[in-house]
Amino acid sequence: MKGFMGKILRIDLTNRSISTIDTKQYEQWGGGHGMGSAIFWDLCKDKGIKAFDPGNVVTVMTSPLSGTLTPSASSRTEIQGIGPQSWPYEWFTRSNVGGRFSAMLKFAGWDGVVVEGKASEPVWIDIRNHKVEIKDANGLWGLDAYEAQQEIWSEVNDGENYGTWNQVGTGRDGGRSTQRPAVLTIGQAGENLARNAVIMHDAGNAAGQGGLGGVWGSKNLKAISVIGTGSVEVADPNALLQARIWLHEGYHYNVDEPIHESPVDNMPVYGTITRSPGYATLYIPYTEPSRAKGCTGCYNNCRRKTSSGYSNEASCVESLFYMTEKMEDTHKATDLLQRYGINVYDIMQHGYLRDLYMRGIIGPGKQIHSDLPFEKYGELEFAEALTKAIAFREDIGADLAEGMPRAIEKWGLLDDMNKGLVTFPNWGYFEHYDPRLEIEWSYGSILGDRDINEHDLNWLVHWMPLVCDAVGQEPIVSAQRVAEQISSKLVIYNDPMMLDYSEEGIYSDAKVKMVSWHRHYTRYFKQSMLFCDWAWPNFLSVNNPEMKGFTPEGEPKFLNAVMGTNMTFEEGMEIGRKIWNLDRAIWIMQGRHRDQEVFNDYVYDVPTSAPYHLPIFKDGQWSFDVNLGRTLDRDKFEDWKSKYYTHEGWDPSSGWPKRSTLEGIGLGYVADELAKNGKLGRE
Amino acid sequence: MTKLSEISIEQAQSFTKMVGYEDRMTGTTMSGSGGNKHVSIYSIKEMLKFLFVDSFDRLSQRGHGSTISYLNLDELIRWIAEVYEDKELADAISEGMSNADNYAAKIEIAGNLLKERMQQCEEILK
Repeated sequence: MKGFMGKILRIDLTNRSISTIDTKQYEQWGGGHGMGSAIFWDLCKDKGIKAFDPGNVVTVMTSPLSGTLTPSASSRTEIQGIGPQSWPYEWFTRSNVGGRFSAMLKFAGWDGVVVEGKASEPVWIDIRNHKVEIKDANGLWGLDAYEAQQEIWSEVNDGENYGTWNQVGTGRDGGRSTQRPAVLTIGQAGENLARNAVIMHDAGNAAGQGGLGGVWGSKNLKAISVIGTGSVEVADPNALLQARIWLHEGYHYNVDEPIHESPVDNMPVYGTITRSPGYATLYIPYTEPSRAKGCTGCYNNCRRKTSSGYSNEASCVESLFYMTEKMEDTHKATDLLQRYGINVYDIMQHGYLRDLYMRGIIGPGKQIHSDLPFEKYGELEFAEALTKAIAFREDIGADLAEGMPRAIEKWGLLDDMNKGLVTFPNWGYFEHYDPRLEIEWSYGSILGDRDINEHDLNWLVHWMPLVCDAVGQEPIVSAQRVAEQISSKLVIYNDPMMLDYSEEGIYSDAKVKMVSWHRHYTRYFKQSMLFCDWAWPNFLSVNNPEMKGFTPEGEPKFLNAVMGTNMTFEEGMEIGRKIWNLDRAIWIMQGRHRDQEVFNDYVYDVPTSAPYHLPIFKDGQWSFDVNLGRTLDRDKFEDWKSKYYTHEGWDPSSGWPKRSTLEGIGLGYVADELAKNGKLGRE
Repeated sequence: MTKLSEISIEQAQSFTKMVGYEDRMTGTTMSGSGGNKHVSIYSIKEMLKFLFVDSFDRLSQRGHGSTISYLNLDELIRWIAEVYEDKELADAISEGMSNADNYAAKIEIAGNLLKERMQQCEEILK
């Protein structure tokens, strides 16, 4: 199969040994997550270990599409392993990072990197095409993520400048490159085993959720650097190019002649829908000179590089970390996170810490002693003190580096969490979208290991009508059209009721199908083939004259052009189902049971208090409702879980897969292992 | 728009004070990528910083890059009247908002009146 480079780098840090795995063994999993889970299953013999145990296996995987012309799918990297962030259990987890790394790793000739064991001293891994070395990182340890990358860039190129042709390696076939090496690294937070530490890449890309930066720290692994001068062989270059042109011409935001430049006169809308360049960087004002920046091969280029250099490449929620009076200070606070390598989501609710200060619970000589300058909350000084404290485990940062939920537990304040004063609905992850309402997000999260962070439906079903209402406009797309158009693309179910978020709808059989579709789609297309979350799937594009979306036509079009297969969308979904089952088996080996899959109390007990627009179907009509005063019903959710488990072929009494289910998707060996451990679902 | 009456030094001092935890206002910051986040507001200054909705054009162009700060507006009026004991301002906000037909327009009115009162305070406390 084309698109693969044929080998995966395997590194045992304990023995400092370097070997290879033949990619062919794992090609059936697609790439990325599927491949990572399969390798983890095979190599992590005791899946009950803790995240910081040297036996934890970390996989860093590319996909067949990495390094190709596939738009918004050419350079995402999937990183997996047992994560220390989730609470109260350390689940096997995943995180995904954009930038250049994945493409560069392919150009160097590798489909992935597997890291095992623990080095006795800090090390970094230097990959220059096929040559791999484990190097002493004592000179890098203690540097922040930006400094560490700069040091490595300099060392790899013998201090020469980038931007001109430089020799890679010493052999005559080494090739030349104008590029800097692509580096994944941890900051000080990872070195100090923070459970909320990320793995950084370039200025604003992070594998953030899961705490895998702390896992690297526990392995004494500072960084992986790669420079490659090769290319990826694709099955049908012409078909791939034509597919890209098809997508570009049919669905891309045209900067010269945008179809929806004016939201009032045209069908509209919004940066996420129009995909106008640079839309993803949240708090960079138009007044600051900047240019769009994308990951390798992207056609959206959603990030930005700024004239000041602050918040470069930052996107999504890290730009919202800390609001100050001065825009520049807000950007500097974001940069602090990136440099120390801290996961913004875990400390996003720093306002709760301030509430504790105002309640007289935190402060000098208080129940929770702290010398942090809370009186400076809202100014940069507080953000500097807070991030430094976490990165170096100082002051209350020693507790917060354990992750905010663990800190709250240690402080004896779990009741605050139960009341929703601080919101961690599942597994100790921050509330992203409302778990009482937008349920393919929350149900998908509780059935998995983390906050799923998959925006597939979110923009159209929630954000679009909310924004329109807030500014006094009619929804750009009606609730009926949202339900009908999206469902027409939810192959194989195609049931509009999958989009019903009413009080009855969220417990329905249709929502069983919705969650199942979502879990299978994302596991294969998004996390294994590494289509970017902010571009795929595409249910509706305002850049298309008829507002068509390119899902489910686009995904197989690109896969087949690269790999030379005749895969259908449905076949991809089946691989997603297989991966979802393998992940399920890993969690079960870690101790998962349906009884654990319950939300924090506030989700059931505290009604929603802010408008939260979602489509509902009532009295034969679709409309967008604000859904105030809603909670999740415990009993109905438990009933829904039973229906879902049954739908997936899992035992509803335990949530464990049945042998017949696993054997039906080629996972008989997984069933054997579960049976050996008394964890196989009853038929 | 209603012109607010002059205020005393004592009133200005009261209006610019921070309130305690029990008297705080809570709002919700909504962003396209980050979801919703609860925010505690302890002063009028913080309220002015919070009361913000991007313009429709800006929302249209930026999507993820935009934020709506949501408050229960009845609660805001109660907060001004009861916690800050500024009945005149609360009434002015209430009356002004009754003429607006969407949330963004309402909080713009509220924000402008709060700003006007804050400027009066700053002037008198110079």
